[in-house]
Amino acid sequence: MAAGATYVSIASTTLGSTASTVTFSSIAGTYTDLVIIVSAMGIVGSGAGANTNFLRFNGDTSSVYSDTRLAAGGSVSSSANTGAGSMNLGNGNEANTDNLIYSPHIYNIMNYSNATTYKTVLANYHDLETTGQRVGAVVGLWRSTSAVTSVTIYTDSSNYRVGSTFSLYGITAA
Amino acid sequence: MTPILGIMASQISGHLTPATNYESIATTTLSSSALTITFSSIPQTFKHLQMRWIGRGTLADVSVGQKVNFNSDTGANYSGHLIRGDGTTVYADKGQSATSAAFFGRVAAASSTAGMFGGFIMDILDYTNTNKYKTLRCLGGSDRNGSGEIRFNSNAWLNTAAITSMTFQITDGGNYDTNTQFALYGIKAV
Repeated sequence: MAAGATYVSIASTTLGSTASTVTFSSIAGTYTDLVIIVSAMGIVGSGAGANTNFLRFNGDTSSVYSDTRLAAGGSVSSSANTGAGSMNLGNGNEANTDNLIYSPHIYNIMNYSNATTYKTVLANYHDLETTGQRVGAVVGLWRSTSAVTSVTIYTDSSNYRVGSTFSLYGITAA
Repeated sequence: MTPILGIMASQISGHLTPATNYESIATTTLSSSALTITFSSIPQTFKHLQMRWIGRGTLADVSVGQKVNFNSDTGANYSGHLIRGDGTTVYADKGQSATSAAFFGRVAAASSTAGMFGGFIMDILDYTNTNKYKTLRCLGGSDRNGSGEIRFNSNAWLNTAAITSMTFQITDGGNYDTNTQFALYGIKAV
């Protein structure tokens, strides 16, 4: 394949106003994997803590998502499974003040366009809140053989803060 | 700025590493099951390698392990450690030493629901450097709707030879199933 077409930027969003969801739609099926790089913070009405980030594909809200998570913070580590109508991709920073710590996350959507396998997501997440920092990894599953054509990321906070960024890349195998 | 490589290579964006510095080398998609998957004659023109794959085993179990050898070396020349979570327990191990391969995460297998595959991203650093033992790290796992495993591995191949081939293999019996796909990429450095 031609050099230069392997790892490409597809779309990117920087929030100019708060938003509870971010959606990448009309994703072409021409790549092998997708990578989403997130730098985001949730907003709460009072106090500060951790938000949880969730992902859905193709607008599917049925209970066909599950995930296995691993997290460590200080001397505490944990692991959990969940199954629900969205994929739990771990925690991020949440604040009600002008905190400037936007948590970094990377979501790898493996072999997203094939019509044969369920879709697997590999994620790293980092919760950089001031009192409960943790780092984690997630393997998530969407039990559908449909090609992924849209991705929606949302938070259990009221919104994502202004300045949160969401960037979508495509990786193409030979 | 200096790019952060390894698993973080997944973060490469235009201002860090131009797209031309991340190139596809070869891809294998299984149309029939196979015990091993080999990439040979790997070009020596990159700084690092990244393997990205989805896989499933044919063994009648919920999951099976995997390993990789470099340059067909099956001697006791590998070591490694890991941290993993299965949804209930966190487990860490530094117990891999003098092993015959680098062992890492498990793929879903035949007793899991059809369609369930594991996903993995492995970075092999400085693979042409003849002054270093070779190191890799791998993030991967398989979720099986209520059970599963996520694992982070680091492994070393105690050899200074440049890596020219690598062979991935199922460890617990059976083969890699059809539709397993391995994609090898090279990352350049200026």
